[in-house]
Amino acid sequence: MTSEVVALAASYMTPEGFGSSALGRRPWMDGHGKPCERKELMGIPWLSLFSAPCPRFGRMSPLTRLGLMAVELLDVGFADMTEEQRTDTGICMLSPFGSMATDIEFLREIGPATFTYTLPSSVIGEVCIRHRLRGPGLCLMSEEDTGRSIVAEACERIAMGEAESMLCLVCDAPGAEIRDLLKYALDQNGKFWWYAYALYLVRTDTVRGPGKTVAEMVSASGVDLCGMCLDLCGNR
Amino acid sequence: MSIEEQIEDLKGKIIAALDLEDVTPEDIDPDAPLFQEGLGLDSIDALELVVMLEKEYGISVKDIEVTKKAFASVRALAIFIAENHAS
Amino acid sequence: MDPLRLTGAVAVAGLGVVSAAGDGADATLLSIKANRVGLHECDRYRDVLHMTNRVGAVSDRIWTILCGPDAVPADSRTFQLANRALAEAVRQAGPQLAEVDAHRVGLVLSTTKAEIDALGSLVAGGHCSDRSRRHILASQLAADLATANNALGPLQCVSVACISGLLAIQQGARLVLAGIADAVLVVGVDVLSHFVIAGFSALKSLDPCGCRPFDKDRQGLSLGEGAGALVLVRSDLASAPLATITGWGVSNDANHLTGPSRDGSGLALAIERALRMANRTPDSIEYINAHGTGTVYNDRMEALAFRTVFGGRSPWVASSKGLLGHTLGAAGVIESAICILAARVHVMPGTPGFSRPDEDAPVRVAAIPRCSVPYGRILKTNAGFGGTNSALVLEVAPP
Repeated sequence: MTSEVVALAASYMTPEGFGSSALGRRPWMDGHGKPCERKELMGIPWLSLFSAPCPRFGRMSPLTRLGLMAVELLDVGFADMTEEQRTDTGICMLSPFGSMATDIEFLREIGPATFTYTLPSSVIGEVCIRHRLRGPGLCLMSEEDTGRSIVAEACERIAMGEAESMLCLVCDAPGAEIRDLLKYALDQNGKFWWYAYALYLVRTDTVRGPGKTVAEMVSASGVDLCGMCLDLCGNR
Repeated sequence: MSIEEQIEDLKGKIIAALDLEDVTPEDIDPDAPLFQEGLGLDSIDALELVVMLEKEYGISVKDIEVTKKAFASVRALAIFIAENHAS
Repeated sequence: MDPLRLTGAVAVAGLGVVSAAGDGADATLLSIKANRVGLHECDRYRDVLHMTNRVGAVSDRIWTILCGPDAVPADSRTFQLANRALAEAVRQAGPQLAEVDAHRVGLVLSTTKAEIDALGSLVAGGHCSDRSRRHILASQLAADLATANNALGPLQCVSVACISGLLAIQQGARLVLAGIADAVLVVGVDVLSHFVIAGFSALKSLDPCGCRPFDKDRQGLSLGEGAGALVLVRSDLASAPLATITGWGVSNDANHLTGPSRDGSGLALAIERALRMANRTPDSIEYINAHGTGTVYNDRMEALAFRTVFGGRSPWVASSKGLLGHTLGAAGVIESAICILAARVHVMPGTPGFSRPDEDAPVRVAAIPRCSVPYGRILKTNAGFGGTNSALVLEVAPP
């Protein structure tokens, strides 16, 4: 299956920087134009990274904004696709902590807008709304290596004809409060910061540009979506 | 406060309540529709506005028909608030 | 697009269910035959922030068994409820599961909020047990359920709003079809919580009188809790299959985060995808168990979707939410289990809570249950926040 699927674009956003297969790897810049680390998720110049306006962005959760931004950076060009292509494009995502930070926000202040973001699949919803995608969606909260990789899930949907192309997204925005409240251990990479990695996958025989097959990427860097993205965005 | 001052004040409260990050008070036409066109607010925004009316003005909105009229525009909402705030 | 043909390769070998309908398949069947409404006012959920406390609750008697002073372990409501449904399903599957190597048995969990009220306690400065704290995170709940049931194979935890249950069944089937597992325990669970009742109250989506699916006077949904479990096995390992999963479809409305697309086209797309995968025509479907939450918008959307796919020749359509309430992450699994256990005894569940049809949302509603009706080809639909839709084709084996 993985040899039938090509990755056309990749993107990522972490506190250390952001990038895409088109832009390469970029550091964040502070107000004086100097590279800096963005420890806080909300310290990102969100709106400047969007090409077209994103209405209602202000009320979206940090996780949703992160997912939308990672997809925006892919610069797939959904607006130029036919309705049929967008109908058959879906999204597979993984988020270990999901909407938990927003759950806490809701518990502190009950409100209708906040409640609608207390599900990790709000990312799927907003991405599909913005880009008018009607393909199959999936959101897992498992650890990546306990089941089947999210890339494999996306590849299967393409290879089996359930979709023509798929977005693949791993993102998380747990927030320091979760660590303090829940006393969960950090994982080995200390991944309690926020991050997003995204891939755009299409079937090999419909490929609209150069790209490595997923099979080639897997043999180069394993099935880890994060690794694949960083490779495609320039050397690690 | 004159009705014009109330309208300016209300614009600020709407922007805050609805997290309209990219909108300034100058962008809002007080006579344009709030929903569908104009500001393009949706059903969730309507619910948030009801919460705002309760919190900021102590006004409790129960009747859907009343809501539709009151939410027709910023001016209509300002008038609605002025009429109901005192009581 | 060349669709996948499953050709009945994944069988349901066992099922378990615990909800407002009762504890276990037998009790649930009695509730179905009686067309019982399972929604009642529940003192535990009386709160100034709650629009209503009329909910589909698991009985106090069952909660005492699961979490009372004699229960061990005595906490984590979600775990206890899920494990109860799993135990029943595993028992029914018998040797079909027991003979599979533990490392070839997977588990897929579906839940929207896991042990969310424990998070609420912590945020409010209170305490919760270590297990409850652990199960606030759905992936840890899934891991513990897998360990408790000796499922040492692949582990997944699905969270896509109210279609999570159907997606979990599909994920289980995928793992079997891909050869990664020979059997998968699929379990969906959600418990009633202050968090969720307050949330739907803030959206003003609840009907204090109890949900009335497809009814002319429907006002909103009712919340419920429960757990449903299915044991899926490779067909060649199923000596006594209850049903086979033959097709599924998933789509997105791409319209609004909480409002379904007005024309039902998203759900129609999911249904068409499921039928294509199952290699079935709309005519071949004998019964539809709908999402049918009782909100004005959902039921109208579903009516339009069914009209689009089935034209004027719709099979009977029912909703079980007047019995169960909306069990969120558990819904797809509980409602699929209900379809299977009822069809096995030739019972077609009705639509408790429904009285009068709505000309604005025309649907061929099965108001009351029908007995002694042999049928087997069922379509199960669900829709969720974020514009998600899913449909599943189940073919129930004669007993």
